[in-house]
Amino acid sequence: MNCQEVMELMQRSIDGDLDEQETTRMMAHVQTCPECAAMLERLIRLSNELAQLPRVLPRYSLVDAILPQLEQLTPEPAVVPAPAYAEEAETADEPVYKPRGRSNRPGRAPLYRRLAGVVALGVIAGLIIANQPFSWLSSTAKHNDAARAPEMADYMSQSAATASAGEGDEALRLSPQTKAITNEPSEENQGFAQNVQPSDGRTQDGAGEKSQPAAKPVPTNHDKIGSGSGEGSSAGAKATDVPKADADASGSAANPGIAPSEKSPIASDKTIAGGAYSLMATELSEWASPDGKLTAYTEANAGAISIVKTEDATLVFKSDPRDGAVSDVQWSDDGQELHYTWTDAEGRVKHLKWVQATGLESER
Amino acid sequence: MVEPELIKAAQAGDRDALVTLLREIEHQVYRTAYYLLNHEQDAMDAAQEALIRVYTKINSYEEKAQFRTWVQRIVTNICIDKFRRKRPSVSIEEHDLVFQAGADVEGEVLSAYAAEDIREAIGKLPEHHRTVVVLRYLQDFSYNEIADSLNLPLNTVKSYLYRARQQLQVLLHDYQKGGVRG
Repeated sequence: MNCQEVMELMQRSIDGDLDEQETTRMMAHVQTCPECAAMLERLIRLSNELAQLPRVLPRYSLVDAILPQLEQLTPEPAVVPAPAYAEEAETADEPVYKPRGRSNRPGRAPLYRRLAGVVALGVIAGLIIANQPFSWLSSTAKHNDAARAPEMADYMSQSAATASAGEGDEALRLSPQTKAITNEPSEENQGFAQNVQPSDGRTQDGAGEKSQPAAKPVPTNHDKIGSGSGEGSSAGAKATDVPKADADASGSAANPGIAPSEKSPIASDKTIAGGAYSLMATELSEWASPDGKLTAYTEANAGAISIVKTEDATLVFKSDPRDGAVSDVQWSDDGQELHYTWTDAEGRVKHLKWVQATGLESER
Repeated sequence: MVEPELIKAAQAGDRDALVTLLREIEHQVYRTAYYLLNHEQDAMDAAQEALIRVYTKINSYEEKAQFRTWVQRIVTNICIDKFRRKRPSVSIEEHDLVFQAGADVEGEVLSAYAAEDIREAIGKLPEHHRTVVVLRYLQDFSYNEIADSLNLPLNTVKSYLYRARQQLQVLLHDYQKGGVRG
């Protein structure tokens, strides 16, 4: 057996992929070959260190940051639409879903086409509210839809606030953050997201350019909106001009553009849901120490706890991997101890603590 | 592990369940993106993109695959795309380092490599090798799980992983020697 063959055995041994016989063969060679012995040692060390690389965490909740965007999206149906999905659309009594639930189109339009309307109107609405809140209000005041404007604005600030809840200055990063996502339909949502921030007047590249043609006619003439931005928004513009009673009729035309015009009732529902989100945020499994230097976190559905340096996510402590759940996580006032309760998979409860001075976990 | 019930609820149209699901996978998605892209902001962007894709594509997930391998496939694809757009591709051959066993191996000071050096070294690996290492060590995936995530044959996964470790070992060894020689 030559060194090259042993190399493969050594590699496999690191992954626990050798049987007894292979291990014996490898060890026999290693004992007589100092080069391979040294190599094995280096590989084992490398592997151990790779396994100990810090489990880095994002600086803020990524899900919170994309919530406003998710509100604009609907999961694509499976290739064969699940019956549950249609039922849901029927019973949820949300106008947005109905036209989509029973699509009149023979071959479903790809998601991006269906979304184009949603996104285009979202962009327009965002622009109007950000740039010309009052002229928009007054120009639509003669329609029943006008009543929705404050709700929508409310909803937008609500979602922005929810997204940034928790970490003060992170809110500022939100807008470029959301903007930076590229690819597929979500790309066009950027315009919407960034325009939610009225203070930020910049027109960004990419998304900004896209929303530009739509943006210009907005303050002056509503009818022109559609001409610039395709099918979706022309329907959207139409819907704005249609009194509420007729809106449902145009909805049954299954035009994707109808969705955003019907968005506001949902938006107001979500103000309630907003509470749910912040509840979830408290369930988010991270706990910063009082001085902010350390952050403890747990992985979902695991009984293990890890502690990292907040600033660079260097791993300070990681408990053994274990099942169950961690609860009642609390830092001592001086940040020197972390107290928590581990309930294992069988429901046995252990009160544990981690002491910074020793770096160890023990029962309390 | 994400509860199958949660996935089912999300697929049945329960948006709250879907958002909860995203929260559960958020960290694992970010971690992969971070180590693949070796850049915090790029990782945040890629991870958000991946979460949005999980959100819109949840109905295309089928139970016969493991949920976490499905999720990792999404995030690694996004990262590899970003990665290709950003830099000209480097052929595997260029990085193909020969097994070095020689006098220099002996007498090496066995001090710990800094996590940063390791991260940097991972960043120098060709994309598939890098991906395999990240899934193996940052997601604790088995050979099979890696193969499922990347849609690669099992033997290819093994050879990528072995070669990646060999390369890392050489790169880190060079760092250390560099440190000693100044």
